[in-house]
Amino acid sequence: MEAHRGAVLCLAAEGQSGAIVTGGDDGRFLRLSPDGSLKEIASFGTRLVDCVAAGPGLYACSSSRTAHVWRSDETTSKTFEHPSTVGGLAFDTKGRRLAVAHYGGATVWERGERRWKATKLVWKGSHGAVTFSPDGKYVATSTQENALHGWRLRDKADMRMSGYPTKVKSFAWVGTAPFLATSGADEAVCWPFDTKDGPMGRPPQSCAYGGKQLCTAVSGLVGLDGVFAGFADGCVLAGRPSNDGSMEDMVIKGSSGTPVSALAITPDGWLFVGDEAGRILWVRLDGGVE
Amino acid sequence: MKNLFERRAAPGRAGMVKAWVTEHLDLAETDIVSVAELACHEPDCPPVETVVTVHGSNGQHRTWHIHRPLAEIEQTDIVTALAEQIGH
Repeated sequence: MEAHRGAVLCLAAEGQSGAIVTGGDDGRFLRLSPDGSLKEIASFGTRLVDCVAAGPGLYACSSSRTAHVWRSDETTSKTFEHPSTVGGLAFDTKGRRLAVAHYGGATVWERGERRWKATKLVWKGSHGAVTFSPDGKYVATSTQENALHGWRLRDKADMRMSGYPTKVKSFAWVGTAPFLATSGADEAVCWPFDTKDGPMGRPPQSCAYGGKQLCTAVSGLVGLDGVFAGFADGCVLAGRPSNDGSMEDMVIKGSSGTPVSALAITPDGWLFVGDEAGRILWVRLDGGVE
Repeated sequence: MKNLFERRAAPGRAGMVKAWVTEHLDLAETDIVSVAELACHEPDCPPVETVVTVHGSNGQHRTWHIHRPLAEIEQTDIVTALAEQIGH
């Protein structure tokens, strides 16, 4: 299906409905339903739609410094301005807050009775993808340095999750703790968020050791202690986070020589693997991954 | 329309290896055998190994590492590898 007239720049799943929202360099913000129907939520003309997000009954996209938020039953949007181009958008699980990453930190917009209230989270540098922890207590962003940055929303205490040899381009909430599993090292690096202090002052756990090659993508599910990690040589390993690497990894996909560029898992157990050659492989995770 | 999510038999040598493992371990239809060729990036390791994993329908899994490319694996390699672990 031809949705955008040009490159698709960003995509987000809507959740239970199975629909997705997309943004393109044609300036359009679209919603694609599982039945194949396409709806244009907004068009910004010559301006790119850089980031998109979807929450319960809400859509959001950004173009340059402005984030736009729609309720799914309304045609007019709220607009939120930021100090620089928006690097990432994310709703919390209840759809009450929108996190916006930009230069100098992130802004959390919280929906009130009459208006949305902004809370600024400050950390120097450029911030890209952003995420809320599943319990809504933390926000984490990827940065232009080889590190993630996180804030505890209750008191804005912040934490630097560093030590990576490269930039972290992929992260996912996984497991019961839960962990924030991340790419960017030679294994999946998993930061624990299971206490009131989250990963502050604690080392990360790890799994899925790729043998001194870089992990390029991670995926997993909240509640399931399995991390899926794709690597620069095309292999995909599954592992469980541990303090000493004692948990045995499983091979999900062998080496192909082409880096894994994206991983996605569905709640009913299908793992999708995308690589830099444009191929998509899917595998049913029956049985052995629990 | 072709069902892209249908379970299909593996082609070529991977399918043969799966058949040998299934036969030798007397696996059930619900058990899953996966075969993957893995490049090793550690010094002093063979450049390519083949990893055979059996995912039991009870949730357990067993793994064998055979230090040669998939194309060179014969039935005797499988029998030897399976026997070694069973022997442990």
